[in-house]
This record gives sequence, structure tokens and C-alpha cells, in this order.
Amino acid sequence: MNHPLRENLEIYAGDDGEWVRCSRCQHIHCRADQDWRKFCKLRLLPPTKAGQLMDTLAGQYLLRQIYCPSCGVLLDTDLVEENHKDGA
Amino acid sequence: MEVNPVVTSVDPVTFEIMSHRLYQIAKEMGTALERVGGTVNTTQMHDYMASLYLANGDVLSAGDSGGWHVACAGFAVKRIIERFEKDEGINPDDIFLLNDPYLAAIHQSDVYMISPIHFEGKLMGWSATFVHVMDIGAMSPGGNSPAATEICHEGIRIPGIKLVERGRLRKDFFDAFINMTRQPVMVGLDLKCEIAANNVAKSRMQSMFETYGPELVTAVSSEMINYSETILRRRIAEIPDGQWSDTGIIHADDTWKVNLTLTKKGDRLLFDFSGSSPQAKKGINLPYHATFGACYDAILCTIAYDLPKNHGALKTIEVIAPEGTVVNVKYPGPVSLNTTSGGSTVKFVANSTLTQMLASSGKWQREVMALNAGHRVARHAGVNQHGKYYVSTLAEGALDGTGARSQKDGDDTARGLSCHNIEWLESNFPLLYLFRRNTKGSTGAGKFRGGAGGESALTIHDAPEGKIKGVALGVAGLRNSGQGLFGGYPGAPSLLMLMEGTKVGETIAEQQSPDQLMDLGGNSRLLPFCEFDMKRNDILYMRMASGGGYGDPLERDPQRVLNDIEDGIVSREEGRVIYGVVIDENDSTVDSPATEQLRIRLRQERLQK
Repeated sequence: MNHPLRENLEIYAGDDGEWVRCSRCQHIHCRADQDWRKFCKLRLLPPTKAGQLMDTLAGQYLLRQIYCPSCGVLLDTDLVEENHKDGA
Repeated sequence: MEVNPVVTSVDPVTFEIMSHRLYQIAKEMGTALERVGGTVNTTQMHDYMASLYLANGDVLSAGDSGGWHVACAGFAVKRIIERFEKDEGINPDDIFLLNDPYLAAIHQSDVYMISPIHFEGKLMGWSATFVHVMDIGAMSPGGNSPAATEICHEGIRIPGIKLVERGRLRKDFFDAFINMTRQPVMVGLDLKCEIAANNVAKSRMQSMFETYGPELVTAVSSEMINYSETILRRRIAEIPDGQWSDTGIIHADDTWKVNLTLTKKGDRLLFDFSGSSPQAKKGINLPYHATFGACYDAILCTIAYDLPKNHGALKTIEVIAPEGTVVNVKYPGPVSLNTTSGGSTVKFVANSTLTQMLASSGKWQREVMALNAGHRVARHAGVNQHGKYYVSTLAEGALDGTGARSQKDGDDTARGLSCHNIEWLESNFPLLYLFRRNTKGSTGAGKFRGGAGGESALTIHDAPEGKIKGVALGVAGLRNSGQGLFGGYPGAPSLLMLMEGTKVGETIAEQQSPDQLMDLGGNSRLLPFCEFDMKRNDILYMRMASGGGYGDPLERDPQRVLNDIEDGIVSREEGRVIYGVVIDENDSTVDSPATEQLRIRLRQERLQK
């Protein structure tokens, strides 16, 4: 049975199993038991891209954004330590 | 409440009347705390708990108290039963005091008072309160001690004692307790307001037993717990099974992580904190019962917010917290800073994983909300303008902006406890506020944006010694504070900044408004967990957390963005770059075609880089 996973993502039940799907453009990211983040577009940005008052985080954190690789909708935004090897 | 097919042994009208009366008794206990108490913590911040328990210590009714302390006080009742029932006895009109974090309290400053409730000679239940006392004789004034490396540095620790024995206050112990603090009069008032609140509970409960009979009160009590448990289990069972994880970070000289994986299977929830950092030699650690209580609190804030607060919700959860970690501290690990550091972080990851769980349910996804992982706060102490030594709290932590929800923007300066009145504070302590206001440009962007947190600045005024002492605490990691959800941006983080040697005195003397800090000069530094001196012409700037946004900002209604620009919440540049909204320069309306084109371009740029 289909059900939401989070904003703009859903679990789609197909004939061949369950999949994580973009609910905006219907792009299928991966199987439901996989980490959908690994199949998305990722950008690391200066924290001030979220606003000037984030300047105290500069040099320590980066703004990590994850998008649907098909339609570009923003699926996740987080602050990650700057020295983290892959921003994950 | 939901349509109620659960209650079977009591008629529904009687059940509603009596269950609400039990709720009101707990609320009235809180009112007694406020009216008899005298400190800012109790009377203005409402940093207290008042609740009722069954004879075995299970939670019966918690009024409006937060679930964290309600659960921990339940542990306290059980510890008192274990300690006293065999030898010294639990007698009518006894009142017990306990503040040992290794038994049930969260940290020593939170002093639990526990009172048995007898009817016709039989133990029928318990009442319990806590207030955060103004001082506890620790290294630092106010009880939160940044330099403490073990619990013995953190003040008085009582594993359970009869403060009131068969209705008689044990003055010897009372005096001994308050004399070990820096503020014996105010701490004495703290203890007496707790005695008063427990007396209110006892009186009201005994009246209820007389009116309805103990059998009916007991039956309603059981049905209340059964009701909450049954409805909550149904709700959990409706949600797809799964696992959700998050990690919280605390910076305090070093970095500590709180890892949590929530597993939902059937109608049960398992919170597993395995992989969290080893305990710290700094008071950020939580004892197990506090970690457990934080998970209970998160349940009450998310999926059980409308259910009667009692033991029913506790029965649905299991908590794994490995011993010797920041979420299950071993003796002699310190704990005095934990409520606003380890505690905020555990509550954050518990709420975060529950929020992810709820978002996977078509029924519950409308209820989710971006979360806050804590804020900086401060205590202050010194000689006031009346020549008296004092210890008190700056309660600005209540001014966090809330996170956005899946259906609406967050609220400004609206989270948590209450904030003190400025005029009251200035008349009692040698402080002068320069401003207290919403922080502009601080909200987390999103389809729905977060609420603005507050910012305050103050300087000392009429301080006989020319200085006071401050203690900086609260979640020290800047990543904390308001977090975005599902694409929403984080809100501006909370911070404490000391500006030394400014021109504030000169500016005020010239009758200029000192509300633009950049114009006042001086040397600024962010305050970690520390004590600090605040001298003449120094300014303490406190910025609370602003709420994180929900969803993709490019999906926000452009008219809402325009409203935010007009209200000064968002700049035109942020409206264009973050929200992709173009404002017509001529008539200040949304240029819809240009906005649509800009949003298409911004999405394409996301895919190109």
C-alpha cells in the first residue's frame, strides 16, 4: 500500500516491491529498504545561505541540501560539520 | 478526547467528571506553588512540576506539567517507597524530600517533594512536586556549575528524607538544608511552596475519597490509565512499522553525540540510544530515568498530546541507554548542566525520530513540526541595589521561536516556559535592559517558515560592587537550536555574547537609545559553558533560537513571502534568493510570471551543481 515517507517523498508499492518515490514528479529514487539520500543530488553551501545570522557557524558547519535529481525539489536541509568527509 | 469505547467499569459521565477533577487537582497544586513561592523560577518561569501518583508510584494525573519531570518524580515515589516502607514507615502527613540524580532527580537543583495520601489509615496514592531551587550549594551560584567534574562538586544530594514527619516540619533538617545554599531565605520559600502544594493535593484527594468513596476513585484512576494506554496503542499500531534515526551534538570543550534509533513495531516503541558518547567530565550527562522521562515527554508532545497524562503512555515504550554514556551516567559523573544540554538534546532526537515516524502516516503527517534542540541561558548573582546578596535566573530561554508545522508557520517567541517581567527584574536586581524584541532575519525558511526567536541585551545598573557574576549554560553547540524539517532551513542559532568595555553608559547619559549594539563598540566574545564577570559598561547579549522551516522554500506561497518582507521578517534579497519571489519595484506586489520563471531557474541550478 502506498503511504507518505515525508514531505515530497512517498513509499510506492509496485508489482515488483516497494519503492521510494518523489511525490512531486513521480521519479523513483530507490527500493524502500535503501537510503534514498544516496540517490539524490547533494550540495554543500556556506551556512550563511540560510541567512546572515548563521555567520557564527562559518568555518565549523556547512549547509547540506539534498534535492530530487529529477525535479530539483528540496528534500532535506541540515547543518553538517565542515570536516565531515562526505557531508553525510 | 476520542470517542470512548474503552472505559467500561465506570459510567462515562462519572468518568469524565472525576478524571477532570483529578486533572484540576494537579493544576491547583501548580497554582499553590506559584502563589506561595517567591523566586523567578517558580512564579514567572513556571519551572516546576505538580502531579499525582497511584499508591505504587505509577503516574495518575499530571495536570499541565511537562512529562519529563512527571516521569522522574514517579521514579522518586518508587525510591521513597523502597527506602521507607519497611523500617521507618510511611505515615499520614509525612512529606519526603529527594534530589539525588542517581536515584530519581534530573539534577540536584530540581528538589522533589513527595507526599503520601492516606484515607482512613490506608495509603491510597501520592502527590509530588519539584521546583528548581534558586541555589543548591554547588560550585557556581544557581546550581549549574560549568567547572564541576564530578557530582560532589554540584551541591547538596539527598537520597530521601522526611522533611515533614506526621505533619511536623523537621526544623533541624530544614535549617541545615537551606544553610548549605547561598540564598537560604529564597530556598526556604521554595521548599515551603512545595509543602503547600502537596498539602493542597492531600486535602483535595481526601475530599474526593469522602465524596465518591475510595473504590470509585480507584476504579476511575485505573480507567484513566487504561484509556490513555489503549488509545495510544491504537494510534501507534495504525502507523507503518519502521526505524528512524537522528544524532544530536553537544559542544562543551569537546564534542559529545547522542545517537537514537526509534523502532516502531506493532503498538510498541523502542528508543535505543546505543552508540551515544561516553559520559563527560562536565555536567551535561543524564541519568537513565531522565533519558526515559525525555522519551515519555516526546510522546506526550507528539502522538499523545491530547490524551490524559498518566502511566498509560509510559507502558508503550522501552528505552535502551547504555550505562556510562551521556544518556545513562555512572557515579560520580556530573549532571548539573544537563537539563539544557544533554536533556535538550535527548528530547530533540526523541522528538525528531517520532516526527519522522508520524510523517510516514497519512493520518499523522499533518501534525508534524520542525524542532528545537535547545538554547543558551544564564544565571546571575551578586549584591543588588538594595545591598543584599542574590542569585537569580535570566529566563530568556522562553523566547525561542517555534518550528514551522506542515500546515502553518511557527510562532514568534512562544516556546517552553514563561519569561520574566523586565520591570520586576530591574526593580530587584542591578540590571538594565537595553531591549527585548523579536530577532529580525532569523527565521528558518521553508514552505512554512519558523517563528522568530527573541533577542535581549542588558547591562548592570546601580550595582554596589560595580560588577555581578554570570553563569552561561544551555546547549553550547551552535548546530543546535531551531532545526529545519524536510527541506526547511534551520533558524538562527541561540547564543550568549559578552560585550566588554562598551560605550553604553555614555550613550545612555547622552539620552541616546542604546538599541544598536554595533554602535556601542567594545570587545565581544561568545560565551561557552562558563562563569563570567559582568562589569560596568559590559553588555550581555542573548539571542534565543529561532524556529526551523518546513519543506522547500520554493513551494512557499509568494504572497506570504511578500507579507514577511513587509513585516521585516525577510529581506527582499532573501525573498528572491531563498524563496524565488520577485517583487514588483513599482507597486510592491508579487510579480507572478517573474517569480515562476525564477523558481524554475533556481530548481535547474540545484541540479546543475
